[in-house]
Amino acid sequence: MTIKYLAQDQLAAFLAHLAERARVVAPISEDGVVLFRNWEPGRQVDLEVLLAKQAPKEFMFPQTEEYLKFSYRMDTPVVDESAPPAGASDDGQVEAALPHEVIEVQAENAAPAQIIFGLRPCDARGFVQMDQVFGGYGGFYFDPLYNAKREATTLLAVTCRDPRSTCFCTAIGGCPAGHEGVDALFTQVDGGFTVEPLTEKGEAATDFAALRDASEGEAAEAAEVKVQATTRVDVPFEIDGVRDNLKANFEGTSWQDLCLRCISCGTCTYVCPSCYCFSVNDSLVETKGERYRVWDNCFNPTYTLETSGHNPREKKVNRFRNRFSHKFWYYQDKYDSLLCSGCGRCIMHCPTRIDIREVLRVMGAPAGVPEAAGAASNSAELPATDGKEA
Amino acid sequence: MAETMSGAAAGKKRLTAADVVPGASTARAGKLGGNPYLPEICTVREIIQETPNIRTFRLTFDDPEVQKSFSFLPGQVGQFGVFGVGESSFAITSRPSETEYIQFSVMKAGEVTSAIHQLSLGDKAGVRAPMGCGFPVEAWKGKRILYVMGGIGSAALKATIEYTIEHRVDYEGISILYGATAPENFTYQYDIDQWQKRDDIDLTLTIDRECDGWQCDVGLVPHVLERMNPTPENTIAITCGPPIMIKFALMSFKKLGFSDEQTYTTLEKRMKCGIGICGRCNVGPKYVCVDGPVFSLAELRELPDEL
Amino acid sequence: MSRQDEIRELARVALSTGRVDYFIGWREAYNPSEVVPAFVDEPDSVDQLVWNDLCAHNLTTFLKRKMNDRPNAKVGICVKGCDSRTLVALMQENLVDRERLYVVGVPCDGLVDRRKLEKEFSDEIIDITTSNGTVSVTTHQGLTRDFPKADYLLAACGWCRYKNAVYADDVAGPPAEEADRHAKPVWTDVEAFEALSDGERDAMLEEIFATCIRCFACINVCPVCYCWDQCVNRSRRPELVSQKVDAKGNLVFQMVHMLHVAGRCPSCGACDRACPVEIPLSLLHRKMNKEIYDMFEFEPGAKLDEMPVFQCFKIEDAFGD
Repeated sequence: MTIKYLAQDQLAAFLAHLAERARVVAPISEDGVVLFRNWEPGRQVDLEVLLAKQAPKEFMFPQTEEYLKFSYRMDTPVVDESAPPAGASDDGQVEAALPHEVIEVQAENAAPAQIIFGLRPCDARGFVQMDQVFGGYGGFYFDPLYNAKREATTLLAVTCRDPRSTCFCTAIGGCPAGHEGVDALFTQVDGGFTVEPLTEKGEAATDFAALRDASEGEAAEAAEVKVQATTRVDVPFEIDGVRDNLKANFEGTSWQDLCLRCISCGTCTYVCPSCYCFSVNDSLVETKGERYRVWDNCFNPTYTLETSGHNPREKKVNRFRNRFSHKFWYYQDKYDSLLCSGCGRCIMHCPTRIDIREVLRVMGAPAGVPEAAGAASNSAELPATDGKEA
Repeated sequence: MAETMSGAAAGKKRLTAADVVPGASTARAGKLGGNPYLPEICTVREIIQETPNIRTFRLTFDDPEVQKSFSFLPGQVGQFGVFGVGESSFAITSRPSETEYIQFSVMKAGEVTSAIHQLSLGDKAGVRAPMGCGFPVEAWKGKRILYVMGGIGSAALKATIEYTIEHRVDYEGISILYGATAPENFTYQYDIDQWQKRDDIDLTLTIDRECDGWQCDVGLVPHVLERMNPTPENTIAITCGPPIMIKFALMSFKKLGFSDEQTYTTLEKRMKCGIGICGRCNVGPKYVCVDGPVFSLAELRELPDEL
Repeated sequence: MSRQDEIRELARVALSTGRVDYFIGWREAYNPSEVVPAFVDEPDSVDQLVWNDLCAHNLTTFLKRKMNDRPNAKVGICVKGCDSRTLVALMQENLVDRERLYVVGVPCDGLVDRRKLEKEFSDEIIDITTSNGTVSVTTHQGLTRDFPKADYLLAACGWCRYKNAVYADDVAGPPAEEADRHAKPVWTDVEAFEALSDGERDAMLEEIFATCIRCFACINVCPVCYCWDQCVNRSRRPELVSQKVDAKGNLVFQMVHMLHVAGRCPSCGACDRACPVEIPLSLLHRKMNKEIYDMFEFEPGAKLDEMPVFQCFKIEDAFGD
């Protein structure tokens, strides 16, 4: 697929053209806060700030998503006098039809066409990582809600010309000009962008008159931008062995030190391009209601709270340990993929700047004998025979 | 789309819309159901008050096609819920050979179970089933099966007990040790009566403390188990019940010489989706909802200590 | 000695004499422009502690229950004036054991608003230093610009009348020049909010709470918010606040928090700074504080021996004025 070129002053027209066929979202600043918002003609896309405050995952995976609607009523079937009686007793009497409960349940799955312009390769990679769990990778279940939106979405990413100090995509197999999940890659060069369609969706989206073939000079400039950007991304830890070391260090006491300033909120999880845990709730008003899913996070103190009152992760340190173990060990074991793309948003937005790089440097590195865990519960004696069962 | 990310497990793939039956529930199409979040609507046909706080519900699928084709493996679970309140995961407690209804036994404990206990005959409920992995009853053929259960733990093992009894000739022996706090707290009294009449099942019932009129054993399950002194030779040991009972029963099995590979239990966790997607019910890399709820002790030893 | 040196010395002594098991202060994170809470348990490690115009974190939140599980430890902690008022609130509620605390008051002339500076650049800030009223900012790509500190103060610092801690065992350096605590507080931001018409206020609240992602950062960073799994906002049975994340639900969520901290919140601004989408939360808390001040002439956490206004009932309360 050939490299094309779009002049800067044609960007608005290009987005307007896209907006005729789909909802277009792009990073847009309001009061200095850059988020992915609906683009309309006249709105300014902000590509100067590297990362929007939140990853664009809400467009594939909305924060609140009603997926079942239901309504109850009582119903009495109409008795057809002429028909043979269904429940006739011996004397030929027709049994009275009793009122019975009826429920109507309807599955909802809205997936309008949408185009996300201006996301970064790490954001796109986050979707590819989430594809595994929502796609039942390895013999599990298919999530129709995420997948319908995924099919209906085109991802037009922009190369990161100036990575931040908090970026670490290259340490874990990513790249500021990465192609994973990207339908077409835009790279800012003098006067505009080079445009590389990478998939059929990308070809379709970039089929626009104002996109001409890029000149050799423009292509060379784009290549140079990519090389420069890639060399400027930090490699703060060695990813090889992290999974095995996290397993070996599960009972290590350094988890407690690392989590001291963590306030156990959900910011890191919610701004992350690949965190996907959710809760399910029902809502019912009189006879009508919905079942909806809503983002949840493993720092929520009730996340693992069981009805009995038992909570395996009552302590903050256990919840803290779980998040990093999930992203760099458990997910890898189940889905052959990391659950992190190195965007660094968790570091930037954490109220106390918990640093995932530091956590992985410490707990993802080989330790000696893992420090002893808390008292082993297996050494307890059997209770006396007149004790109570729990 | 790359099929594998690290190349570590060639041959695994992820499903796309083309691979699944669009909009189909799990009951209709299993793991290839296009909408595993969609419950099948069921009607409550029979309610049995097992104990003061445990009720058994027998439900039929409103769609007769689903009722006819529904099947499950012993030990599998279903998400049984009330529309407007929510769902919870329960072991399917009907016989796997039962075609007329699907059965769940529910202890009233929280939000959803309280709503379930308010269901009457003819009321509608939602069921997403079957889910989870069952007990490996095929692999156990030729062995002695030892069931050790307490209280509501009987629900987790009921379907498997019935299956192995129905296929009695395939197993060298069946022993059941069932403990309850008091005589009125045994579930499935009507089935226990049948088991007691059989001479090819070794059944021991025990209650915590002496009670007038009680003819069977007295003592906590782990103590009675050790008194029974079952041989581990060619035997599979399964236990389910309150967490404290499981803990001590597992210790007793170890004392009696059972290996981790021949000891099984089921795990419980707070659950939401039940299909391994919402991320909540994990113990290490395993989800209790889809990789369990059945685990051998050998599998549990591999998992981080976070139960 | 600079205040930073004073803090380090007080911490070093407290740790080496065993007066505390660990000491909570501030330190640099991944670059000098980012300051985070520090937990020091060795006297030799006190040099990581800093004091500068970025030390905004209210450290008293780490004293509340279920934050860090060291129930019998002796704890040293740095508090600015605003932080000392949440400490007093925690003490008034018997949530911290004064016997196990060693409190170092840190007089403060006002801190720099990092977010306001961030908006001056599209590039990442990696260094911020202040000297003689000038803030020097350096970016990742090497750009440096200066700003007058007075124009880039945290909003809460602009009207601060508690530059010195109201409770401290030791003070790090000479006191700051205090504004008159008996003068009426400044409420210009609240008055501007009150001046909006009902429709304008509705629209403003709808707009700001549409971006809320219900992350609970504001709740968890707040020193006087400590219900955790029992929080009304998480209650499932009954469901008191809808779990659906939309503007209306988010406003209700925040109002629950506002009402529960009213009378105990000195609007230290920690919630503002924690919010990842920059919702102006402390404006709403200051609105509550203005109401409480107008009704009771009470300022939360100002005096340890003063009964918190919603934890007592005086007969005069029933009759108003």
